[in-house]
Amino acid sequence: MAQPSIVSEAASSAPLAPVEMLVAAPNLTPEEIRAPAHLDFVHSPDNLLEEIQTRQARGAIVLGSPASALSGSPSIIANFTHPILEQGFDLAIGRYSEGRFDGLINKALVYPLTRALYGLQIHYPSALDFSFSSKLADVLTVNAPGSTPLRGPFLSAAVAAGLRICEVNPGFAREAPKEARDLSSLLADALGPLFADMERNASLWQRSRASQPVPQFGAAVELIEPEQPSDVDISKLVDAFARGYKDLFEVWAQVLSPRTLLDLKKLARLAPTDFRFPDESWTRLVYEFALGHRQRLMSREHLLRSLTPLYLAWVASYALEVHEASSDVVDRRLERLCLTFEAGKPYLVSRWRWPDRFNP
Amino acid sequence: MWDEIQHALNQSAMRVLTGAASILPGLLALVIVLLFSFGAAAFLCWLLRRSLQGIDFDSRMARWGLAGMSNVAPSYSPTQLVMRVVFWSIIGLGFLLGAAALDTPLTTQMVRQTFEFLPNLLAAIALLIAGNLLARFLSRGALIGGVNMNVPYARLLSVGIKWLVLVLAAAMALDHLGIGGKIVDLAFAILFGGIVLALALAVGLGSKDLVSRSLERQTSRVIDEHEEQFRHV
Repeated sequence: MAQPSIVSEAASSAPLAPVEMLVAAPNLTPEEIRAPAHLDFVHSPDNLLEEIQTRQARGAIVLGSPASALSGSPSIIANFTHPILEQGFDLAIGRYSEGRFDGLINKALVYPLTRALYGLQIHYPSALDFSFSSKLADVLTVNAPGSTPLRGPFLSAAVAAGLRICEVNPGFAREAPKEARDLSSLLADALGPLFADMERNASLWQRSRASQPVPQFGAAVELIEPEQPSDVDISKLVDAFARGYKDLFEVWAQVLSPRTLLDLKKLARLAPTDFRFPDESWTRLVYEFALGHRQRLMSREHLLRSLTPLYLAWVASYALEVHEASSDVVDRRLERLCLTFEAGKPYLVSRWRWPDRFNP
Repeated sequence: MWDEIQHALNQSAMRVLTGAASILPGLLALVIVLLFSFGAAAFLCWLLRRSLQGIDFDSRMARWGLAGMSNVAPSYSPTQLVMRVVFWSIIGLGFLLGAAALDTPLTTQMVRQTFEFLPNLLAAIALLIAGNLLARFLSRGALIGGVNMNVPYARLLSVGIKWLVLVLAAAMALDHLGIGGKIVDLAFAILFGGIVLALALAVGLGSKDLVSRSLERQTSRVIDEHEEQFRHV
């Protein structure tokens, strides 16, 4: 197999030959990526949109997962090029096999919220591994200049432009980035761009209705079971919520409605064995945080970080429900949450459009 | 002798009447200026009330954490407080203008000193407002950060930071106004140092277990399996 050439600054002075697609993998070397000859390797994804136009490429692949996850599967590139080059899709987002307690921020917040907003069942809207066409690159260059892969509004831009979107199983299990960061920073990083996107695309997401599945490529995803099942201990999570309830109630009261605060009051009184966070309450809470973010009821950084104890309460409730359940039950549990988000969307829309008419 | 007494009385009466006659136009001007100021203040307050209600000033103040200023006068909303400040400021300005019309050395000096003091007063008010906003921002950040880090004294830390900043802002405002002098400096140093010492003791004593657990984890490299059970990303 021909070694892929590296686009570097030293070589950029000479005109480069057009290629089919570019591959950006910041965690891999060209030798590790093993890309075919008709693809070209770009080390940094920051200038990828410009490179696509310069090289007249039909699209690009971004592989942002850790190197350990990417190195084991030689067919990764093919999995991502096939939907773009041969099936005519404009955005192919990775969908991974993972465990029931993996990617919890995505399960609790990002996936249900994005699905309710944009009407598409994209299981990992913030996936680090995806491919996209030059058409989407052009849309982003015009509508969101300066955006970069891994930081740009790819999904919302594709939905707004009416482009074709699919999911692809890249052929490896999802691994969390090794960078050690605290949970409140992870939540702020996950939700901040999502809420900001809601403001930019308010006219778009208020239109869509019931969500639709998207075409899937690659092997079917499955729930990965742990080698040795272990008991779930949610005591620390419940304690974190109790501490948050005691100290942050005044902060939450600036954002949440009285009804949601009452639900939290009831939740705080539950014993750990009976700890259940109703989906309706969680949905309303997330929507109210989105509204608070938009209305700048407080510093946005403070708002997002104050969600941490509430998120841990959801995790505790979810863990109690699914820790001994079968994979079907886990899937149904998450599907139920997503449907609740979709059912609660009219509440979000009405409060978004008429914020002054809210009367608790 | 009676002639001399009568002459002295006549002269003193003449001086008083002359003095009163010379000051009368100024007094009249003062009264007219005050009446005009009253009318202008009432009109401006009406205009101000409509504008502030139009922009929902009270709820914005509550959002920015400035509603606490109404604790000074609980029966007044922020809009009413602003209106009263504006009203009495215009009346005060009118009084100064009228006092200047009296054209006496005392009133002239008083007016000059008042206008010289005004920029310092405005700067001190701006310092207090900025200090209040900064105190609330920092205290809320400390509270949220402390709760998320499972720090048991998060609320104490938050309150301590808030009062540190408020005390600093108040001392800077008083220093700017030139009020109190060394007494304010000394009181600020004692208060500030006391708050810092109390916080240091609370944090130091309260974090003993946290620090020792953290060190144990680093040296023994034992990972609590429950901490790894939930992967958030």
